[in-house]
Amino acid sequence: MIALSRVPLAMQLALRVRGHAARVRLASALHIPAMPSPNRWTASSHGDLLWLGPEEFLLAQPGSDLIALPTFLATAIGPSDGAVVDVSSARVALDLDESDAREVLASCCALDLHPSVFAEDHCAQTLIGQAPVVLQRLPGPSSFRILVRPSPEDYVTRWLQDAIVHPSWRVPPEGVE
Amino acid sequence: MKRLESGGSIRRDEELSFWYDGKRYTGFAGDTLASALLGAGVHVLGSSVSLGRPRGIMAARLEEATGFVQLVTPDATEPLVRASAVALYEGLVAESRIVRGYVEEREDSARFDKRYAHCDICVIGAGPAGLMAARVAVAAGARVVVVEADPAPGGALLRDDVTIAGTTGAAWVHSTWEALGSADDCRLLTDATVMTSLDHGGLMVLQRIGRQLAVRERGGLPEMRLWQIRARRTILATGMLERPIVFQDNDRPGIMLASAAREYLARYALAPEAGVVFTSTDDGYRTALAWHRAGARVAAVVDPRHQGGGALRDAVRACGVRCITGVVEGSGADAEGRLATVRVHTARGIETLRADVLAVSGGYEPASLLHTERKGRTRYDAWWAAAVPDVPLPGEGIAGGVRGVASLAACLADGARAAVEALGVLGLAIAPMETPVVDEVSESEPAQLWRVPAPDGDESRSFVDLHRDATVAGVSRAVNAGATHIEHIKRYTLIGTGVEQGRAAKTNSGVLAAVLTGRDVSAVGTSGGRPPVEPMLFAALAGRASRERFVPVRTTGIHPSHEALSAVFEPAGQWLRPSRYPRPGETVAGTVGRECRAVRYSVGLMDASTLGKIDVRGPDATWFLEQLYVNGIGSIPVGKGRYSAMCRMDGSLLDDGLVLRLEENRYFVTASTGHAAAVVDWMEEWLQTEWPERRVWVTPVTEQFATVAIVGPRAREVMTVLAPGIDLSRGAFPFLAIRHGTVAGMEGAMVARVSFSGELAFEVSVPWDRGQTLWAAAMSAGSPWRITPYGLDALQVLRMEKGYIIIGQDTEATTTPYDAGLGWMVSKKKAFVGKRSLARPAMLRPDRAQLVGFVTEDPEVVLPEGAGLVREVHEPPMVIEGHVSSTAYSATLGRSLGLALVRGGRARLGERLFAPVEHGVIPVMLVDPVHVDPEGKKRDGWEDTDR
Repeated sequence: MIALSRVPLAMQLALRVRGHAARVRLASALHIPAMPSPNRWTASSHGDLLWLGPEEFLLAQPGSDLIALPTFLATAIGPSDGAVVDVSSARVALDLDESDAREVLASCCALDLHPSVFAEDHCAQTLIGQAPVVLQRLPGPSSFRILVRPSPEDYVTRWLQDAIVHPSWRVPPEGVE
Repeated sequence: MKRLESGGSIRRDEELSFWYDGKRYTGFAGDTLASALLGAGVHVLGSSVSLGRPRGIMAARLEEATGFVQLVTPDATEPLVRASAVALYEGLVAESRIVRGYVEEREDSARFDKRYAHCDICVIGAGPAGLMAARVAVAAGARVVVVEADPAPGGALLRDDVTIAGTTGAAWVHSTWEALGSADDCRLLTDATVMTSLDHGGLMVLQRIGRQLAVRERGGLPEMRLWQIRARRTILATGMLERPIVFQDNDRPGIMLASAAREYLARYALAPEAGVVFTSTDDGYRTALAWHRAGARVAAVVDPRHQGGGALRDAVRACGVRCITGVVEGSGADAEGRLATVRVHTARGIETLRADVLAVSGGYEPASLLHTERKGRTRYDAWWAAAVPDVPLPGEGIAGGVRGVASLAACLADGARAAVEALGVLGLAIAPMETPVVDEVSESEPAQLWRVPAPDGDESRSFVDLHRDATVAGVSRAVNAGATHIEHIKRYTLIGTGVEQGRAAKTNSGVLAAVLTGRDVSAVGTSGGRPPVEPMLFAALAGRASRERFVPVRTTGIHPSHEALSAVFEPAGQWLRPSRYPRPGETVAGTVGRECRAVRYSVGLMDASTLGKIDVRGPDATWFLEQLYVNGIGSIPVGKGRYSAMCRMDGSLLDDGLVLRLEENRYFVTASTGHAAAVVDWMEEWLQTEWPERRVWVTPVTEQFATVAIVGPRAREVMTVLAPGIDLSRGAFPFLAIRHGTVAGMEGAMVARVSFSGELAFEVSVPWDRGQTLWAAAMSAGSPWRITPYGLDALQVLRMEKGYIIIGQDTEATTTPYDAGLGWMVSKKKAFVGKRSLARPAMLRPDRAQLVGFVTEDPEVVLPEGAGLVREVHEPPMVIEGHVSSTAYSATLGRSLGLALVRGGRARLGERLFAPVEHGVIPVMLVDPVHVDPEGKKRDGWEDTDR
């Protein structure tokens, strides 16, 4: 059975950072060797750090809400080299677990999520149906996190639930992948 | 045709009932609808489109021109379905509709699926070349998808008697398919047609699933599934199509392609009572051999070639079957219209043979639509007398018959070659693999025979396109009318415009045109094809994106509270927003009037969360906003905001909103609900393309903040309860100021004193997921003043009474800030995007459409939005002076009013214009857009409530 669960995220920060020196300072503040490269994410001391675009990252902190974190990171970046914006409520996290997760997503997401292509440290901005999401591959054989704006959450959930309720990919005549 | 006692791959122990045109017949599991109809003795399927001639099954695959039916199920009906593509199931219902299908009004309750798939190599076609290519690709560890249009893999191997690797063709197909199916990353799609191939390896594939099963067996299965496949390489292995020969009365049911006749025998045990083969190729002899070996009577094989036939002809002769050198020049029918006789013309004269099936082979041509529809190059091949794909398209490999490869052994080798090439490009290691040994005879050169002239010269019964009833006479008429280009001839004759795109007719029409215009066949060519390869349902294209998944429906965090208040909702872009909150028994006007009065005389509240919100910060933030907004930004003090607007480069209004300065280098900018995404894109476009060195960062935060507007003369009292820690007095918290503090127990809430109604208003923003808490607290705090939730209907009235515009509704694509009455905000001192355009003479003309207010002479009549305004009413055409952009009935003023864009409008206040509408002519008076409180006295609340 496929599990779709809503995961609370205590804090999300939109990080903008320009220049090598600022990136190094920010990585150091987050206790990671370097900022993630395009479409990759990494676990940092303060949560998952996802690459969203050039100069643009999302820090998703599942643990406790650290009031001082935005200021701490903004100081690390420096006032002229980027920005830290609190977007803690601007996305919700939906986790899709179990072996058929990739098949569920193949019904509504155009990306190639084969493990050889979308590995455990991958993330991407994409669409579920027509709703923009950030898709994050989680550790494990076939687990994904979907970060979606709260307003289309119902719509995205309906797409996923429909695929879960009608697992037609299991039925012949289709072959196995 | 009749069903033989044994043979075929049908399962005779499973008899199935089906209905055709209301009559019950039986067939077997493993039949297609086409083979079941033939087996049941139904040879006449229906009448042709314009001549009403009887027509039947003439092919077993894509060449089919007439074997189309309407498929009916309790869930849905599907028009123009090829009978040979429908698997027979118990209870199947079909109707005779060979040319025109129909759709039903009722809702289609069938389920359609859509899936995405990705692979290294997609092999299109599971014939010998395709299977070989897939084998090699899988052995190299590639991710492979194989797409086969038929329910069973094998292609020509399903009908031909061959030996591969020491076993039968069928056994080789079976073992190969099994091996592919058990590979790790190989997906096998049968009953799946590649409808179109796109650039960059995109393939749209329609797979028939539930539709091929008895209704009660469908369960939760989708009828069909649309696959969107993205392949790094494609291998086109679609094989060849057989071509008929044109002669008089060549359209009778019972006349079919020789390969189809062989397929109906091999798979469905269908053989003629007495068959004749008419062939210009050696391949036709295979049909005669197969019939003879199955015990069917073969009256003769007719071949125009004096020397032709080779080893296959010898084999047929050895069976005692008569081989005639000559042509078929006509046919006769029985009372039902079925083929009864075949008229053969030989050197010795005319001979009439009795036959119920005439198998015709005019040669083969590549099934190359997926290549040619993308403008893939072809060359004219003299052996096949057809256009053959030449240079592959980027990412494309071409293998086997579709490339003009003739023999089975060569097709297998070509499939392997194509796979090796593709793997090489992909950088995958290639495992060595031997091509299986094949036992086959070589063939002699085909005759190039497309048409036999009518013996009596009447070419109006010599059919080129059986689907369209287009004849040789029709092509002559087209040429005589001056059409020489094949695409003109297509449109004159309609050859190739049917659902099957005239696949069996194209080459013949091209050759005919060449002959009639005295040109070379290769110079005339054939008319182009287009996707989809076969007809498909719109429902299949929509897939699962229907009903609640059709478009995203966005709701705010406060939505459940609106539902609890029985709000009536309306879509605003993708948002679902409350229009109004009716009470039991209330009329629409009653609700809107009540909500407006509450805001004007007490207090209302509104969910403004959908408002676009953008965080702009960085050392260059002020500089950046100065470039985009028309008024001064740098002069906004920290803690205050300014109403502003931005222009496109042509000076037209893009959006309006508030620019709130939270810190020296940090702004909170609002945008209209509908323009929020466009404004962010606009900002990013400038930053990324023109000013990448500027240190400013733009972050959309619309869904970070839930926003509730508390509006009305009692708003300050309500806010005092909600936010006791914030000094709300007029002096301490002036208009356009921003304060942060604790509201409804929530720390860090932002309160802005802005107004879209002219009343005293506080817009409170808290984190998105706290919106309901804020809403409930405001409802409770406002209860002493009967705080009233209001929706978009009331908002429209309130903002219109004040002449506040909505960009996009009260403006057009060319409306400037001056036209919209916002000239006061345009800075003279600084540069901004659009400024230069605003100075152009056309932008300053006095007769531009300008925003004005209007009132109707009859205060009770509300004009429809969009109504045209004229100066003089007479018979159309009338000169339109402008149009109505917003209207409403103002309960506050007790009259109808509105806004309009009128040519030179601001100089015409007081003028009487007329709105000719459906039920009469409504006189209106142009007035200032501000209908209520023109002095703006109410903005700060009532004097007596001020402290």
